[in-house]
Amino acid sequence: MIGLSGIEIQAGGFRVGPVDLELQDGEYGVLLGPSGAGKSLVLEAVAGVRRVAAGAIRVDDEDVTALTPERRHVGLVFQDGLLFPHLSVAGNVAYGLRRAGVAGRAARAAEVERLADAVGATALLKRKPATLSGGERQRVAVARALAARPRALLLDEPLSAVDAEAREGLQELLRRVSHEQGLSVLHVTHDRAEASALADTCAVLVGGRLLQTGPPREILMAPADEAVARFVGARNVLHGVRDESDAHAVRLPAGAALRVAPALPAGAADLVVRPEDVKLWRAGQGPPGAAQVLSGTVVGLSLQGGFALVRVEVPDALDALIPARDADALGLTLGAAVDVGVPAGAVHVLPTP
Amino acid sequence: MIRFRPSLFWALCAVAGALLLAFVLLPAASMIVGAGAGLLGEALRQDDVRRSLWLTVSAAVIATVIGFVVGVPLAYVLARKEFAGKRLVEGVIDLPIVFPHTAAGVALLTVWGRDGVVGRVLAPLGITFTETVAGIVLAMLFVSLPFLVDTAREAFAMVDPRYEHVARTLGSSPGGAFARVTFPQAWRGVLAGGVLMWGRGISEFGAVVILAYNPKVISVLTYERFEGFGLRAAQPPAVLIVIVAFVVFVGLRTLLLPRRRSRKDAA
Repeated sequence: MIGLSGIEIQAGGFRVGPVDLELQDGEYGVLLGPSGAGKSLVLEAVAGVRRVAAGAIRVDDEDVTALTPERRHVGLVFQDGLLFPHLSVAGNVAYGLRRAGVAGRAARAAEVERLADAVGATALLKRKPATLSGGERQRVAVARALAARPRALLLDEPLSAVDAEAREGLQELLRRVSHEQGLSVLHVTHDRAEASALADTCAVLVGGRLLQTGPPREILMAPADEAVARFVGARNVLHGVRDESDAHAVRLPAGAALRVAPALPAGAADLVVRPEDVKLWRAGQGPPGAAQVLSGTVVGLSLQGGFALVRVEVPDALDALIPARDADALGLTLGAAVDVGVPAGAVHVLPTP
Repeated sequence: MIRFRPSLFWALCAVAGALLLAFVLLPAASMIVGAGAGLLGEALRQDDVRRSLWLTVSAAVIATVIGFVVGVPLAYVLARKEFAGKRLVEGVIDLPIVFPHTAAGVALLTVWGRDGVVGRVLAPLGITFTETVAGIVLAMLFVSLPFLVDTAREAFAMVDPRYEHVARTLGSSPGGAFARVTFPQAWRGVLAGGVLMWGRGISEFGAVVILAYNPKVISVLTYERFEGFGLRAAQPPAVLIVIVAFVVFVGLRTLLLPRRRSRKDAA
């Protein structure tokens, strides 16, 4: 278990916190945020290599705030593995075994074999770190961290320096290690997809402030504020005013009106619509009688992998993310007229500050 | 096959390098050739030259060992910690580099001489630094310590401190992380600093001659012979120390420091 209670960290002129977060045994937590948000500072504070200015850190219900790193029993894995370059892979994995109470050379060798097998690194044991790929280095780094019998695992951007193919295998390994060994994991990343794939609990840190904590789907679908919404890729953050005569309609600055599911109080309303929830049809072919079909014009078009990001004006600007094949089928070009569907249930109303 | 294409830029670099090499090598080569093998053999048969050579080399080794014991921890602190007055400490460590060495000798004498602030306390215990080997070691230590501290500090700074963070979470104490993770990655740089310090020590004249004219280190013996008997008499000890220094420098560098990998090798 990892428990952070109001921890604050001062690094030069930059202050992080207060951060509150609780991860149970076997729970996979992801601290998500852009570069420079202070995520790694939080991780360093939990590892004990950085002092906290305020708050308390608990590991397995023990207050470790004042303990040195070697007495906290937490494993630490960095982005590039940071394997000790002067030791072989086996030497790296064995580094923490003696301290973990594995006595005798034969027992340590057997434990190294077992750990290497668990992470799929048996064939690498005699090699030097410089000869390993990014993915191999991370597997060995995980084995090295597990060798010290940690009570929790701290991962600082562990997949950033790994190619896409190796990343999937590593994600599976990290999830398996966390669940099989009942380890709380705190994983730091700026990658939203990585967070969605791995996290049981996700915490969003922006500019040193913890903005939202919850399951990744909840953060994607119901961001707590505009900063979170923008960071998790909800490209459509719209500032409007509730219609005077309809509590379920919001008027946008350029004149469009969007329907929302909840009844809103009068006044300003900030809305979030994820681009994948915006539907497009050829002009005049939107489903008849649909509650929310607007007429729009395509003003931007770009390919993103197998998807097309389409900007339409209704006349307020909205981004839609649709399969590239659908974009081709619709014959979308700049200036084309389209029908734009925004289901009321897909419009998230940001809490009033 | 890829062919090397000469360019004006590289040609200028090569010419500048060749001029510098000639500038350094010519005096040494000229002295060695001028002395000849006979003169060298004669020098080795002379008791005072042999004694002086041994004294110079061993005093520089002792100074380097002392420098290692006190300088490496300081270099590590300077590489890893930020603290008030750090720039001042670094400046003080480098001070001997800008001291005229005779002035360094005078300054040392005011502290370690029989009437100096420390020498006065140690003299009744039989520890003196004027005209003794201890004085020679002290002078060598003073003028050469910055070379070890600066080089070792850079070597430690090159090691990512996050290696130590990982080692600490794996159960190592700060000392354990230094011994098992940092030093094994930095030792070549530290050793290079030690070699530089030793080399600077054996060549010292100004500070040594003021603190301890006797027993004579090789630089003092060379000077005394030149003053008393002329160039030919001064050549044998000078040639001897140049050869010893050259062999040790090149030997240690070849044996202990790995050849730098080029980008092509690394790819």
